[in-house]
Amino acid sequence: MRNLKSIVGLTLVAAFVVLAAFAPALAPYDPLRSSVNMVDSPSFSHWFGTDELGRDILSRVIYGARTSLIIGFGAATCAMLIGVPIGMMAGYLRGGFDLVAVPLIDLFIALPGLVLALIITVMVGPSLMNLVLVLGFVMWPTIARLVRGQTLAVRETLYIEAARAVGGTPGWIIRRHVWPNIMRVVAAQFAISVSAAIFTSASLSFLGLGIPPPTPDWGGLVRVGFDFLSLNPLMSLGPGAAVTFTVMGFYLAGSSVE
Amino acid sequence: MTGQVTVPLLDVRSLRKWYDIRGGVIPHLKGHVQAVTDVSFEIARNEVLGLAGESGSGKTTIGRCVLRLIEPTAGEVKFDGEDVLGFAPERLRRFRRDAQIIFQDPFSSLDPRMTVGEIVAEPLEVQKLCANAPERRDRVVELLDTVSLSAEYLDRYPRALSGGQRQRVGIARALAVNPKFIVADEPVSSLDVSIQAQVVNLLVDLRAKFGLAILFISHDIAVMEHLSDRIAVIYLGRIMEVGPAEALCRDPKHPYTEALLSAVPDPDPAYRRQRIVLDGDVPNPVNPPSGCVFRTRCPRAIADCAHMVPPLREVASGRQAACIRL
Repeated sequence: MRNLKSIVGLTLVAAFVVLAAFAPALAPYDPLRSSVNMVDSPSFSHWFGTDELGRDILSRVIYGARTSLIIGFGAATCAMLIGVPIGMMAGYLRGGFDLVAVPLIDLFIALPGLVLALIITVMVGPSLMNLVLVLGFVMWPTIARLVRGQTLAVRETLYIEAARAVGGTPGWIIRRHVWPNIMRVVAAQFAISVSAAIFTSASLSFLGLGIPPPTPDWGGLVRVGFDFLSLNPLMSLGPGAAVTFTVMGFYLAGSSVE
Repeated sequence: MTGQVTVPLLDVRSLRKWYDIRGGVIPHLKGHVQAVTDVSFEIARNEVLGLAGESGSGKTTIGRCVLRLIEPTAGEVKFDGEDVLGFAPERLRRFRRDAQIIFQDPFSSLDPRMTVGEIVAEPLEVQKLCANAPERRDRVVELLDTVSLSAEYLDRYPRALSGGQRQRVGIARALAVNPKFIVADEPVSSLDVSIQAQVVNLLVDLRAKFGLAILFISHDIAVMEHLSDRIAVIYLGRIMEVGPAEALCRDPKHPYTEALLSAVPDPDPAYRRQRIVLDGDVPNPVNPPSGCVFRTRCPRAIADCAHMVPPLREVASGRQAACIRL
């Protein structure tokens, strides 16, 4: 069962990465070039049809993978950079640091991520860079909490006591013992964070706070397609499916580890 | 020089470790787990002191307190005349070059993500005892050789090793810093009986080779007799009897020591000790009996035993016991 999850997950992730990496070769048209064939229904020349400016939707979906890739990996990396050190320090050092970190983490987790991201995005303005930072900022507490829990478990092991007995400093022990022993779980959480970031960014875009046009991005595509749902459902469903499968892929890949 | 006083290598005075118990709707101190109470002993250079007791008697806690892996509640620990409990972090780190520990469980005391080479090299790296990586590698190979493991184990992970081999790795790690003193916390009790003798013999060899002082902690007094100069018997966190290993095993003074020894099977079928079976369980260390803690299970207890804590006193030449009936 877990095997099936990881196979499906990794296949979807691989497909997504290939799509993003080879977008210029795979896309049949320039995603930004408009034409007079506006809101065309799906045909052999335009599989998903064209949008309101006559651009090929399939090409835009394929290029949208790049945007999602940047947001997903960028935001997850940001969240890790903040969450992992805080989680490890709170879990290993305990004491005052832990007493401050835990309520802070709980507070952030209690706030709905989308709403928080929405508010901050409104304040800083939507751009690719800002979106990455905002999503990273919204997601770090989840990672910090997980890392803290894992660190607490490792901290009580005998090999940590052995490291203390030979004179290992906290910094040494965190680097050489705690981190290698929690890395697998953190890597899995990274994949889950990528999926969460892509999902949230698509939601933000759908609400009109995503990547500014004309850069193709999935949430924005769904949003535009929404207005033409009766004329060409694929205009919305195409990018929607791309979001679904990618999010599912990263989620399955991440959750198949332990 | 005249008037020279020999300072023991390790001098432990009135060591106490009580764990607070907190609880209740409004959290408050409800009592203490009296793990170790007023334990005093000393270990000379190159001496092996056996610490015998049942599980839960506090013997492991004593070993950890002496090395300051846990902080004692009260008492005094002097190493080479210096106050270990007063060491600042840097001095404590330096102390770890002199005093090491071998753990009971060789499975969980080795980091599963490190190779044997990395595990044995860790003390050298942490204590910056080698100038460079090649020198460190040579030293690790030498250490593995000391515990009869060949260099081919360097890149193996602990999971690929047997229990006895893992324990050898643990011993090599403890020896890496060239310590003067080692706490051996039940080093053989999790090993197969056939392997136990090998590891005990290794410790005997190492002690002779490096002039080590060892605090040998075990519940198995038979293993201990073979290797210890003196034995201290502990019950419920208090020392019941101390004496030279052979004399103590041949002629136990304290009723508890007697009971402990009677449980040891004797290889000579002609010689049979009378088996003393103690009634009941070890009392709860949260609420130990008044007076002598052993009195509730002692076959020789009298009413007076409940009234005063018997001090550890000389009961025969070189023999000390804590019992008012001696």
